Amino acid sequence: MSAGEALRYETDERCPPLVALSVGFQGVAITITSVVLYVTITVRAGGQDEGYLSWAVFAALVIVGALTALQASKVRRFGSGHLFLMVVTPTFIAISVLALDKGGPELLASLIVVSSLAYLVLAWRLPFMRRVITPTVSGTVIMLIAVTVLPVALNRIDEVPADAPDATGPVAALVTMVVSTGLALGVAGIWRLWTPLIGIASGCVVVALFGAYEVASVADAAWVGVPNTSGFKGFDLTPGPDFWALLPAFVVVTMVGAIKNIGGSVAVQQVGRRQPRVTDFRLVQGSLNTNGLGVLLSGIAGTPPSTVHTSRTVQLINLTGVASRRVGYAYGAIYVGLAFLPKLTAVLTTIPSPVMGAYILTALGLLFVEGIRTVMQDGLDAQKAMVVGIAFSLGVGLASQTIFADLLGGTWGTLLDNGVLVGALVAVALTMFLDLTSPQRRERFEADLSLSNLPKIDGFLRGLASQMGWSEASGQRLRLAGEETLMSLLQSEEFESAEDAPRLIVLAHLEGDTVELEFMAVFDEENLEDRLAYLSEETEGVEEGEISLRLLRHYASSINHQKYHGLDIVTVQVRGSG
Amino acid sequence: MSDAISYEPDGHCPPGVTAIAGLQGVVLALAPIVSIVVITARAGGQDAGYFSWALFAALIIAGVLTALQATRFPRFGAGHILIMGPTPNFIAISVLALAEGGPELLASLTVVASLFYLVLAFWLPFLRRVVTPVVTGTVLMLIAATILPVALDRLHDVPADAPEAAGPTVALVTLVVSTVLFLRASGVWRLWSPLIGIVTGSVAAALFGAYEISSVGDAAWVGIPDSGGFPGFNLTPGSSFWSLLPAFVVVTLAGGVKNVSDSVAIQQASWRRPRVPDFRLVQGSLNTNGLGILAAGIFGTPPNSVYSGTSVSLIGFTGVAARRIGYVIGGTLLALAFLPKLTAFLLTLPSPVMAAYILTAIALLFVSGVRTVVQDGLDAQKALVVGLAFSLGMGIDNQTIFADLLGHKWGLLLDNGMLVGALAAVLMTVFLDLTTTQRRSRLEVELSVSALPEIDRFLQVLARDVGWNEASTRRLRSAGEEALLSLVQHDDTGQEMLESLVHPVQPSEDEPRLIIQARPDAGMVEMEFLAVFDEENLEDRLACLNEESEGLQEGELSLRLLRHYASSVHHQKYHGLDIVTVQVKGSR
Repeated sequence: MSAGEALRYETDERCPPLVALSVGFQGVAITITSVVLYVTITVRAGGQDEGYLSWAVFAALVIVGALTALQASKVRRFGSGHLFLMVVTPTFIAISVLALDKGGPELLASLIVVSSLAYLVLAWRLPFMRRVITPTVSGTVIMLIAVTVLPVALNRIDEVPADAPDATGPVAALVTMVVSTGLALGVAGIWRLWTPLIGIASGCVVVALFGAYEVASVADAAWVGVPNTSGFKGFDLTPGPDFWALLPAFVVVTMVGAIKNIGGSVAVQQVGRRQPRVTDFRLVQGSLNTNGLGVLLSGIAGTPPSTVHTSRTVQLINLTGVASRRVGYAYGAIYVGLAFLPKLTAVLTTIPSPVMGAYILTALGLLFVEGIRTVMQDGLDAQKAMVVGIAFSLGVGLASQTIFADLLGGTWGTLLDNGVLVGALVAVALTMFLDLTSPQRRERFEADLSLSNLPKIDGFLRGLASQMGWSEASGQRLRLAGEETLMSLLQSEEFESAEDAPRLIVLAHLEGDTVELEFMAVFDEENLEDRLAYLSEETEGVEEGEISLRLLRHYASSINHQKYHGLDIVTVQVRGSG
Repeated sequence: MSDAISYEPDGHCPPGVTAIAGLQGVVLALAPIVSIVVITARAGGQDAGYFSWALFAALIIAGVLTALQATRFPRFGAGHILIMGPTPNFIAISVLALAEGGPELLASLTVVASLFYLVLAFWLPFLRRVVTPVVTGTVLMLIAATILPVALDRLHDVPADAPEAAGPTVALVTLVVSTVLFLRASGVWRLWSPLIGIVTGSVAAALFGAYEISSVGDAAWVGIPDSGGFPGFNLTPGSSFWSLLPAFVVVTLAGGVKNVSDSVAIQQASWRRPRVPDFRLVQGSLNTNGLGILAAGIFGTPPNSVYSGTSVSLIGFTGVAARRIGYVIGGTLLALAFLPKLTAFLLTLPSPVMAAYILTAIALLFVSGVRTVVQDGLDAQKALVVGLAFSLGMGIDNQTIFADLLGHKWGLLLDNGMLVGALAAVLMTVFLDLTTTQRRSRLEVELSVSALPEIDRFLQVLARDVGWNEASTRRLRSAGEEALLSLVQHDDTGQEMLESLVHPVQPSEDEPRLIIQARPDAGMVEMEFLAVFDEENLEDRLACLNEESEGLQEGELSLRLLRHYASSVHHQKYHGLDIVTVQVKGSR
């Protein structure tokens, strides 16, 4: 039985309120650490006071609750229409700590608000942004962020009350690290979810044994209420060098998160149904918009950004068999309710800084590995390796220097001595250089998918052969390959059933002695650009090699056929000589 | 297949190409050799006499050993280009040794550490379980990341009267020219790209008035330094010796295990088609490294290692992997030791130019670490090992946590990020290895149909131990039988199989061996069938299996029946070794 068949309640089905509430509580149980702890870690590692922490946790809980409910709905251009759990994202911890350390909550708020606009840009210009923010660029930036923030995290280890023994900080950090790492390496299943909390609790016990644990603030906190709004710090409307230095990192991290969220949104649509369906890209768009709104609201409220958590959502649906949207509403309501329990926040504020330092060290390590994974995602040839290596080395090297500050002084010096900024700029510049100087040339042809257009296609291919300087025989092979591909696409059943003549787009990539032709037969033009941009996320409906391509194989050196709903793509490579 | 290699190790490249590539190798190697000796000697508070001697000895040892690595003498030599020289891994502890007890203490510690290095070669299979690609990759990344600031410090090393912008501008010009040429140049231009970068940077330095050549005029043409710099040994080891010895041993062993990867990596990088690593050459490389450390100790200069990043970079840059290059580099380094004027000339290359160049080399070293870390895949546990070890190493390198707590000696040692990162990675790997919940069962028989009853009994016991029901047990036994028959067929003994079913015979002495390693779990048993056709060096090959990429062929066996019983079948072929991994699911 597949996971889909195990679903008791599909997305659109109404489960009983008790079921919704019970599954909602389970969702909260598996995400609460990802919400409350990440905010606490960010705020404490960023050296902020208890007033701000109370506010930040309150705002995060409200935003996570409200947006999960919004994700479950379909309100105009917002909402994924599915159960899609929101949490505070760990991806932002490192740079948020850096922002808090450099300019306090005001700087963090300004940066988050501005970077939330990146979501909108992404939605509009996805294909272009993907060419610039490649896995090479985003992976390098993620690794640089992790390395740059490390000293900030380690500085927290010495932050203990003045009368505590010297060894308190290092010993507490070591115990936290050993316990949480030992558990993470040695246990499995549900216990793994609780390892951070157990590690933190162990560290707190050590600090208490050293007599350096302060719990007075817990007793003073009310059971129910709202935090003092003095924790809300507003914005920094006069952006200085720190703002400009950190902005690229925030934008890149936001974009990386957004691209991941596209994949997540597609995955959740598949998990929430018994039978696989074609991905609804309006809902993907709605999910992205809601995420963007979440980042924007987090910025306005001055708390670390929230985003969707695909794996926890899939885990919850698989565990319970309930994908009903009602669970999203219940989950949201529970989080909003938790926001009004100040005692919970008070307990979190007592966690000692060395314990937080140890925890963030582990988080940064995992962030660094995430960078490695991202960099390796598309393979690492010699050129990409050089881009990654140079950008990372320059970023790390410059972060420990004051070269530009000595040379240029003031704003520009501080800006250019920022390792993350320089590394990101170098990675983007080298990637664009590679893209622009690529010896590959591209040509495009568009017409109705009809036999009557064969002469036009033939003319296009003849032009290509002439551009390549191919001999008569090679040119003829290219034209025959084009003709056979067109004939194969015309035989498609979908074409016969289509009411209007579908479109044919031919993309030709010319490189060396090879022409690669991509024939796209578009039966359903709605949202085509989005579909092409998201194509790598789609797994459903892909069928290869079904077309009868016997003749075509005589002419082409390689043939690949992919079928999607409303879209057929045949990729043909033809080699030739002059 | 790597089309980028113009000349393989056995290829005879023209003298002109040999000279150009060799000179580039010298240029690449000279900067770290000189800078590491300078940094170690100066930071350790030593005088000019010791420095001259240490540099002279370092160049001679580097030259002789680089040439030796290119050869294939019995038990010595990697048979590939492997540039040798003082290693940055030892800078921190060498400075400590020099500061605590002078060159004599450094010499004694280096000699003793070299003995541990040589022992490593004998214990290689055991250590490979502990020092995995995850560990070596993490250490490589840490080395690259922690020495970056040292490289960039050289940016400011310009004459006092040069403009402030001279250093950064010269480095930028060098970096941009060499990077752009590397990314887009091909053929002969690629060969020249590093040198063009260096020449362009030097021209920029001259335009800024930051190119000083006066020291060349003062230096003699031919000569050797005053032997008064030779330190001798400290034969009465005191507390400093014993307190520093563990660090020397750990750094030596960490370097030694890394050298195994280096040796395999250079073998992979040097051929157009990947080959099965030759472990006799790995052994030869390790022995030569050990000899180098011993020689460095005897002559009182900082310990040597393989410049694997530089060697791979050189081959990557030039496309030339011919052994002749190793001889040219070795000979040139040796000659440079006796030519103070030439050394002085090379030393005039402006520091910012060298900084940019070292930065490029470090960049490639870092990426090599990234590749090493992911070569076996990164599951959640390995990711945690890499992440935590790296962040601990990088984080602690910028702190004085242990120095504040434990004082100067042990504190400085433990505040060494690379050491802490390496130790953390090793400890976590050992922990994972020891706490693995899977039980392992092993059976070794001859690869013959006559072994079927024994294998059947083994699998029956296995199924009983995990409490499987009759149907699941039968599936497991059938899977085992089909896997065996597939391997026997594969050994072209199908006829023997048929005959043996009719007339069972006793196995002969020369039969290939079959090793079955089973990892039983409640819901699944994973069986690894290793058919060993060539037992030479088997333990080493199994230990280093992860380094091998060549010869991998999947799905060639006729495994139709086997697929009925197993949930997953995976077949890997190596020279003289077939591995079929079968997973069978079952229930109680």
